[in-house]
Amino acid sequence: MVPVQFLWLLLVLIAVGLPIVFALGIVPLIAFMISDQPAFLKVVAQRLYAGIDQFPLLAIPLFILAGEIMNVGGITQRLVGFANTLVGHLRGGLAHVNIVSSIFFAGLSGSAVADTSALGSMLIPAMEKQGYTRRFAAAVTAASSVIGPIIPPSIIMVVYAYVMQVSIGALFLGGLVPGILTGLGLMIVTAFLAEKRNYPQARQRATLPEVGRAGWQAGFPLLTPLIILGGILSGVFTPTEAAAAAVVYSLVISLFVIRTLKLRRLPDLLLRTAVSSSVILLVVGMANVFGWVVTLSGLPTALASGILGISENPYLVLFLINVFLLFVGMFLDAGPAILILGPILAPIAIKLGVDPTHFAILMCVNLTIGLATPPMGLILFVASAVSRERVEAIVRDMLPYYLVHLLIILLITYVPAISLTIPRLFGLAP
Amino acid sequence: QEYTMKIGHVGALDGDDQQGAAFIKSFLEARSNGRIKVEIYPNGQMGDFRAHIEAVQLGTLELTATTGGGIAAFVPEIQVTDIPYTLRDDLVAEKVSDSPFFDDMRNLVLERTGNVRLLSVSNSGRWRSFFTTKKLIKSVDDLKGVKMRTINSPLQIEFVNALGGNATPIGWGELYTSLQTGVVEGTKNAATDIVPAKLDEVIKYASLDEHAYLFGFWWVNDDWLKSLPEDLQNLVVDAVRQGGIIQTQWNKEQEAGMLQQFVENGGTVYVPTAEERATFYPGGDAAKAWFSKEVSAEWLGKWESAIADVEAEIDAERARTIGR
Amino acid sequence: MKAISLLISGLSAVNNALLEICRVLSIALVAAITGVVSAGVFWRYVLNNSLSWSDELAKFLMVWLVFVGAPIAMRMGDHVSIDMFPDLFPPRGRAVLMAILLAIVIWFCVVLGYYSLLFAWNGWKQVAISIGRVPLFWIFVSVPVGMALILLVALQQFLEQIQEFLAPGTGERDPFLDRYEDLLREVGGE
Ligand code: NA
Ligand code: NA
Repeated sequence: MVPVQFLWLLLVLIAVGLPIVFALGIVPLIAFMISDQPAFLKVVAQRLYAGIDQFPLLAIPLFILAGEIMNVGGITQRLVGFANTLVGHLRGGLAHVNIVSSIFFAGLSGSAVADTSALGSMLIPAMEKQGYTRRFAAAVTAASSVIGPIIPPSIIMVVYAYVMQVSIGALFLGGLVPGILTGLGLMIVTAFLAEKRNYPQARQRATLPEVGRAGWQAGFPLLTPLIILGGILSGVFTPTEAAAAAVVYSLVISLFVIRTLKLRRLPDLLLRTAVSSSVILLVVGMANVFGWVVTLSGLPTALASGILGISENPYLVLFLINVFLLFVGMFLDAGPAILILGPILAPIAIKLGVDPTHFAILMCVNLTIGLATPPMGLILFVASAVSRERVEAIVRDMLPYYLVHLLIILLITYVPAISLTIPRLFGLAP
Repeated sequence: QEYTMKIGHVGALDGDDQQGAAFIKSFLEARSNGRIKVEIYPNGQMGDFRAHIEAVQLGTLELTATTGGGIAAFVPEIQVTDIPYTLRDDLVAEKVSDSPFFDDMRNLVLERTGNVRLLSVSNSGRWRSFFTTKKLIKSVDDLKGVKMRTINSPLQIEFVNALGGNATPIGWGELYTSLQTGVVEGTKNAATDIVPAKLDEVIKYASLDEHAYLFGFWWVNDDWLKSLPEDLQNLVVDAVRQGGIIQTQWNKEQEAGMLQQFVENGGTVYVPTAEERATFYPGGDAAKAWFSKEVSAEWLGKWESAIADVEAEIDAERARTIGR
Repeated sequence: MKAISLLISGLSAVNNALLEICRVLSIALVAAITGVVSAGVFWRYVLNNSLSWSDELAKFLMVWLVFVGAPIAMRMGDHVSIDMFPDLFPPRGRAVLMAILLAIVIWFCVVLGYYSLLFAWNGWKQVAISIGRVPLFWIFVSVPVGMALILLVALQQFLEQIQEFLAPGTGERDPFLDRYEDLLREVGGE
């Protein structure tokens, strides 16, 4: 009823530079106009509205706001300070600190970009002062920022859970181990590089009281993920409510307890939250319109039978899906990619017996890594802006870290237990 | 062909809406000498219930099936059919479906929407009852303090809270996790919702108090219907009426099988006695009070008198059959 | 040439006033969403009594947030796009390409704006069940309002690109950009 050819139009429009959100909306309009289905045109606005008017999506502005509040000045310093007492004494100390701080920061923030800009603006100059090249500092920052949306909270997991109707709680839990594994992998590579390039060993091992003091300083912010996950798992909150609780918690501690935020700064934080949320949510709405046309075109069914025609071996199919997603991730943002491809790819994997939570984690991690791959990678752009290094230079220094990313994707793909053990522990996955 | 009827519904391909829609398609295509072609858009391709009503209104779809919730934004009065414990059993519910009450409702919906016509009233998934994870709800005492998931409707919330439960509106997508983690300890649903969604992995008790009958409504775009020649108008009306009957009967069969499966999976099914069921009635009264105050006392009156008429008719029939 | 720069400064004055309203509204909306969802949690768990209206109200506020926030994002160039292709062009060629893309956006806003107005109008016949029977028009109308605002911004940007093509480097920078760059970007640096 809607010919599949219209989908090429989407790629062309995005490639010539039209913002993705408009490309997603324009293709359905043109498709209905040309394929003598004017009756469907009348429903486009309704589909857009209905794609946004969804309770689970409220978690998006709320998690963004909580992250913004935590992102203001002081808290980042405390996290870095704590990380420094833990791993600062290793060879290549600040590079390790950068990675561990990313893991900490991931528990407060739902997006990768916040991580890159907050930690980058603090750690890149500090690393440079200790003799690291700026582009290596930027590379470590970018490579470890992908942990942000893998460890909960995570905006893209909220989006995935919404389009695919799976449990946000299960996805959040499923991301914990892959996120920490990514951090460990990056640290191992860093240790090798530090040895080979003789990076500085800048400080003594911190004494236990020092660790304790720094841990206490960072303690309140670091409790945020516990409140979110604990609240969801103990049955106190739904995920959306947990997001609201995270906002209230972060507000209370940063205004009154550790006083890193001044009240007059609040309107600007709210504005930033408003603009980033509306950008994401408008894409969600337009993708709902676009996804509708995709369904009407029969593409998902055709593609599924096509892929299953090539092979019904889940290992091979997952491998092909990974390669495809890595390619897509080079160009597309994780959010739109999930919205467009999730409903097409997930049913194929599930049909082959892959657990829905496992596939969700795989897809989210793969596309998150795409945020740090050229040519289009939001993390790279932010890292480049913060460090004033060219993207190409940063990418060159990231090459060893990409190996870790690839390895993590392979591990997640072929060892389902990595994503499923913790959700299973809490009964959220079979 | 001369006419195309696009049917959209939110149900799955192996669900009850599709049973009705598939019957309507084969009936119309076989009996219209090829003058009507039917396309079915299942699986909520047009969105949720309300979106389907809007699609019928705009002429994007010609026919759709929804629950009362789908039309409630246009016609809040339809919520009267959702007031708990107003219907005593299937016989009453099915007979009231064909009563003049729904002629009045048809006119009201037409007036409010401009061009959405009610063609047939059916059942879309049996009855709503209490399904719980921790303890069986036999009577109202068991409901005290229980966190019970409802849909986000004030009527449902009033009902549960009036009985001492703690109504918790939660979206369908989060229900499994919420039951699992204890955000809620139970849900008001039908067995036909619970078993296919595998919620019986976490739900252990079903108390079939059958507080609400899940009416299904088939809506047609009135302008399209009127654009057909008279013989085809008749054919469409007949097809949809019989499609609704098939849907209703199919659901009965399904429910029986699903309850059996629920028990096989380790669940407990309990049917409250008449006395136990009566302990819940104050919740129905609270919902009535909310409805008369917030929506329409007049429509509550119409509903209750329609039911009284139907009950009297059934009682008389039964007396004749038995020979009393 | 003169005419275009006059048009731009006129449109910019109108847009900046409208965007200022959007800014205030979007701040209020995020605050309200947080408040309403938190109130819902508080009532349910602390007072043991669900608010029937909190979920629906929060969603409606979020829908409005999207359509007053998106025009600001449009002005700031925050809607994600792939710039590889435009960056291949010399400045004047790039201006032409951007003008074409903006013309497409304008066409889109007009068409979707029209259909969303029809959609919103239908909202007069519907009411929000859980919030005092408010006609849904007041929520649905956020879509055409958002489309109109994005259209105005896109129109200004279109003219700016035309000006850039005709007389490269002569256009004045919209004061809005500097002001909002400050508001939006500098928070972290305290
Ligand atoms: Na995170
Ligand atoms: Na990329």
